Amino acid sequence: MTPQEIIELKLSPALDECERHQYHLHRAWEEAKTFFPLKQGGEGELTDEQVRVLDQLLFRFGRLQDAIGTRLLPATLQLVQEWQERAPFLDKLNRAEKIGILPSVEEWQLLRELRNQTAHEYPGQPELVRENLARLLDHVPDLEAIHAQVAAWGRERAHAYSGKK
Amino acid sequence: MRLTPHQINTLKCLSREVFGSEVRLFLFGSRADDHRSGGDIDLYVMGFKGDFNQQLDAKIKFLTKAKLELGDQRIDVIFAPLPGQPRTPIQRIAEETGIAL
Repeated sequence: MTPQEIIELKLSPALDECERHQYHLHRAWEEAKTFFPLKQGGEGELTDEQVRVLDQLLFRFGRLQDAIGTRLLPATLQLVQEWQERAPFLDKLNRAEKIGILPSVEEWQLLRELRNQTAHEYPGQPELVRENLARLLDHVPDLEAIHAQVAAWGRERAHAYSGKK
Repeated sequence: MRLTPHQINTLKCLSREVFGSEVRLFLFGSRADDHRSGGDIDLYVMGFKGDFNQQLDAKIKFLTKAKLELGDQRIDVIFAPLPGQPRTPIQRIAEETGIAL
């Protein structure tokens, strides 16, 4: 693939997709902050509307991180010829961190872990559900910052290539 | 038990680093059983000094580091009951069947 093809077929759609998830994630986060931290009793005392907001938040959080990891980062790495198709995913993340696309691999994995923890069902443990959600909510700005950095990096490179045309 | 020496070493080192040198770490569940295959790595932590919130923070930190070292696989951490709390069924199973790492 030529750089131009990577930009048109991979990078641009990935940037758009991440942008969409980011928009809905941010909206849900702004709303969720109005009823967090939850009081004792946890999720069971939420209104239907609040549950919808939290579902939206969790869904978009996961989708944004997935889209960054499986589309935006790969497209960006391909554009700068740093993509190793057969390398383990962790090696790709490390490469992205080394050249400054990704702020921190450890932070990336932490965000994944926070999401894993909220995906668990803990019947009869409302305190655990509440605290896991609170932690995820605290880290939404970190995921947004990662998105901002990777997207800016990708756009900048794409712009540089477009200039060379 | 079905863990490689590298996995055992990594889990023990991270446990000391994140949970403290005084904790005891046990493997229980399917990985503790030589006759089964696959399965999550279920860990039981005894002697962690911290409240509920410190447990949660430590657990997330430990799992983050463990997956960076061992690859993204299913690992779960259960803590022994906090002082004054009754034992849950899963904690009882872990204590009865767990193998010290």
